[in-house]
Amino acid sequence: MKAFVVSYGDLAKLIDEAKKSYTIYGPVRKGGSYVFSRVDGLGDMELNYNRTILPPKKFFHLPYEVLMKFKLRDGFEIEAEAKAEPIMVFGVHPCDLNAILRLDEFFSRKFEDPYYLSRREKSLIVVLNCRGAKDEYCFCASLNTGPIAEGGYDLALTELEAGLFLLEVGSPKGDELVEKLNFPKAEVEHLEAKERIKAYAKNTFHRRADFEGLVPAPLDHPVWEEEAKKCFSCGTCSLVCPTCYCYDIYDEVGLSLKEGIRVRRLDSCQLYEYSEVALGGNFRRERKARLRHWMTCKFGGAGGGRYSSCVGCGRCISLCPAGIDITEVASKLKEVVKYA
Amino acid sequence: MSKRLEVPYISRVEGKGTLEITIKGSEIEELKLRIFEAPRFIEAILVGRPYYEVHEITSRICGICPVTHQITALRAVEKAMGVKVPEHIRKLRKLLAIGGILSSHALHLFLLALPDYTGHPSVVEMAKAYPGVVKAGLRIKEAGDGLIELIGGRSVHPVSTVVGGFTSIPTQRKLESFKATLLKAKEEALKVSDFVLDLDFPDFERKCEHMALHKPNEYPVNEGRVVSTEGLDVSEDEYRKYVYEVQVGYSTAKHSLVKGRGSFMLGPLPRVNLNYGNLSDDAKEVASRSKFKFPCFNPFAANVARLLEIITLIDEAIAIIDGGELEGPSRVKVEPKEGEACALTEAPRGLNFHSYKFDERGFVTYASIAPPTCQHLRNIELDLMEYLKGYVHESEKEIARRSEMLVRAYDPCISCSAHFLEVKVKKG
Amino acid sequence: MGKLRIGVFKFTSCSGCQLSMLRVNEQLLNLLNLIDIDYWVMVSDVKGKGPYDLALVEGSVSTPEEIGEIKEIRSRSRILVALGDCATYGGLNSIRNYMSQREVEKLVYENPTSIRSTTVRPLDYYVDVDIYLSGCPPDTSTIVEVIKDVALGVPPRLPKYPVCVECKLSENECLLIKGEPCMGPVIKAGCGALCPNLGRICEGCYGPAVDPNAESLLDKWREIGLSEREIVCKLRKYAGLSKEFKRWSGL
Ligand code: SF4
Ligand code: SF4
Ligand code: SF4
Ligand code: SF4
Ligand code: SF4
Repeated sequence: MKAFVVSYGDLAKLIDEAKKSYTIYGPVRKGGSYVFSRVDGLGDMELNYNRTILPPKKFFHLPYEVLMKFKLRDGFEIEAEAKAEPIMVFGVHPCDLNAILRLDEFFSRKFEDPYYLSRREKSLIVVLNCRGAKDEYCFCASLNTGPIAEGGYDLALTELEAGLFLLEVGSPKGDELVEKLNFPKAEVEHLEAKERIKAYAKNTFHRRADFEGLVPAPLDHPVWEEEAKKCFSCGTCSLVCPTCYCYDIYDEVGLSLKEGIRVRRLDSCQLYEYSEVALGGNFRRERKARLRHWMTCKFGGAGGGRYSSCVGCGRCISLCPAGIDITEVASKLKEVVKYA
Repeated sequence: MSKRLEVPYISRVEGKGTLEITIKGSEIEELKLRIFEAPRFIEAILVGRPYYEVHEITSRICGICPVTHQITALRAVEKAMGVKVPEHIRKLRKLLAIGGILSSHALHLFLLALPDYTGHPSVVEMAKAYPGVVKAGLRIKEAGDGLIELIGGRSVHPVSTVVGGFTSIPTQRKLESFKATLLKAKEEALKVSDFVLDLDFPDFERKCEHMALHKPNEYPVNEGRVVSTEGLDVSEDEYRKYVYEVQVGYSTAKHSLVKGRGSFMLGPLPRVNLNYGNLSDDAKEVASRSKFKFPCFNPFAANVARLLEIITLIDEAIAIIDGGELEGPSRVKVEPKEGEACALTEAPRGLNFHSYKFDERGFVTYASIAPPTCQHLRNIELDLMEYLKGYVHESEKEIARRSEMLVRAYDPCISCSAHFLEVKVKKG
Repeated sequence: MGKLRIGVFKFTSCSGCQLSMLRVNEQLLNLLNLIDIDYWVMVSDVKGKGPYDLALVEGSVSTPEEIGEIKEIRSRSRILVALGDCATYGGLNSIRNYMSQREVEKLVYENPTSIRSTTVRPLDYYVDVDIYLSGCPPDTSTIVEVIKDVALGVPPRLPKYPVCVECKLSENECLLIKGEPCMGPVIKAGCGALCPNLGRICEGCYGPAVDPNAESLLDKWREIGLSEREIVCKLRKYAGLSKEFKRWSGL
């Protein structure tokens, strides 16, 4: 794998070069938080961010997208095209990268999703490794999804010392971009420095999570009732979760009633409507059941219990208006599991 | 024997009410404008609510001019709490209020009043005959609605307004880019000005007291001294000393009278009459082509006054944006305290008076609101008495039509006063 | 497909919902390809007696006359829409239900004997309502959506989930977490999280979301420092009479 050592100024050059073929997105400040937003250059970005409100999934699995346009004439006329623009997402944390890799897997199973995949294909992801837990909400280390990315990126950056970065190339696309820039090659010492950072970073996490053995989770554990008392069923946790992919599809018809669009919109299993079926049925009418379902999915239910689909980004905890904490719930559940 | 004429609801006014006219021979014996819309008791529901909710609640007095009820309430609350808002907030509020007036005037003039003059039952039919005029009106309305949304977030019941300022304010860049919409609207207003000026306005004049706010160097909207064509010149705090309210048995709206004189007229015509010097140059040019000479006491001229205000206020909005210095902290801190205060502003339909008292934790203990329609209801009755004299021998249908038209010229927003209109004519 | 014959009616209200409908502005002329206005006093002199394919009714019922009128309109309408909070929940008008009627009237009128009003009720207290279009006022495009859906004969897709969903998708910082008494978690979406987008807490103008956890929110508000009186005021604003908030609004 190729690796270079670059300065802050070199990064600016990298972005300028990328601008020729990509629209650049990076973490920017919004009030006291951060969001991935379109940027002109490095100066617009806040590289020392903790986490963005929405994860980078918003670029690939859009919160709202038009799948096709249709017209009613003598029958149907359909116009569907998976159009994608080349984008560079700069400064993606390892947890979020791992989440994207899981989405990649999900959207290319038996049915390949052309909309998602075409956007992914056109994208270039620049990871920014974490030198340690960003705050008390991060727990990627216990799930092996961070704080240093192990591959799956196009380019990855590790800040070795203030203003000096190790730039690793992870894909031909990444290679193509840095090739022209003639950055100085990394030496062994730089790679060793990265290893030292990695060893250190792993131990900076106060929050731990152990979801193993929680699928199936104990359904009647009192913790579900307790947490459901607080929960608003507001969907925040799943909407901001980088690995939650559930969506809804419906049509919007124009004023002529003769043409319209088919829309896909991000959905959440925490919402009452999600589990509604015909004739007023609802198979998760109780708040408790919805909350339990969501968490169990994150514990690994979606992966058939083989792996957790949580990457430890901490969003659901830090953004839950009710203060519900998936790691706390897991540890309460674990206690029982241990005894059982 | 007397004859009674009855027209169910005067349409194209924003509310419900009836007009009862009793004609004996060639005399109008009695004329009663009766508001029968369900009263909403806004003043009562305000009592016991916290100070920060007052403007949110008064907004719901009227969905056509929510902005004015918000700003009047905000100003009164801020006065009571001893808060002064910085200049950029004052200017943004003026822009917001301008949006409100543009939207309301465009709605009234083009969608509700013009069909009277073109002889159509509604704008729907009128749009077929004069699509250009209707489109122009809708575009001006769009500019007004857009301006409210840009600053307040929503055109009906804006949301970003709070005691002390706004929860967030638009960037100068966003305001700049809205100028194109305003300019387009002004162009439309100028284009249809001939059409409006040439309408067949009835020849009718009744000298009565016209009252409005006045400011030396700007067209008055959110503040000013109260002046009248009879020489009144007082501050908003002295207003209640000169103008008092009476409840009339046949209506849920309260009338207002000037002490020692009587009823008065409010709204675009009095505003133009009393602030003619502050009309913009383009508005003055349009005025110079009108058959009305200002000051003018023909109530139907209110429709021309609306057009002049549309032009002037677009010009003022652009000048405010061009003047810059609209950025800064979005709000100032407010601590609740015991106090009382009143405020007067110019709603699209004229003077809007709010007055409140608060306890030491900032809860409302007293509220009194006098929206414009209510204040000059009596004047509409007197105008009708005079105007209909010439038509007592006409058919009931014609009398009803003419009455509705005159009432509509006042643009009574009946939701706010309480409400409007069914015409009953008793003839004998 | 024939045009929909519509009637728009005003009860005890501020006209804001009708204005939100008129906010279509230039689209009005396109909308007219879909509907025939048979009755809409604010806009037209034509006062058709129906029957209406679609009746959009703004306002709550608050006088004896209005009780008769709403029943009459119901009998002449195929689909009846409660337009806005006043019609759906009683709206802001319903605040007065928490005071004695005499007291309310005396606060406003010196001589209340000529004023006749009853307890404020939402439309469905007296008649069946087919579609509830809440909001104070409902968003213009949602009103248009509902008209289209009625024309197509499909049930409208109106969200039941809370404002937080739209708020998070707009990537707002959560005001509740910052210590402001936002109502978003228990209020129905549909406004696009208009207020939080502008840094203002949701005041609840779309009415209760489905299965709202008001109890939990009240705990949060108390933590933030809201007094019981302020809490009651919040719940008694737009939808105090709703079955979801009734328990806490105090009646
Ligand atoms: S974010 Fe919190 S309150 Fe909202 S649904 Fe998730 S767990 Fe419940
Ligand atoms: S479950 Fe929570 S911590 Fe885990 S990936 Fe999702 S949002 Fe992040
Ligand atoms: S719901 Fe709101 S906007 Fe609609 S009529 Fe009632 S108060 Fe007005
Ligand atoms: S700000 Fe309000 S609406 Fe937005 S997420 Fe927080 S509680 Fe929900
Ligand atoms: S955020 Fe709440 S108060 Fe604001 S418009 Fe939406 S529902 Fe109404």
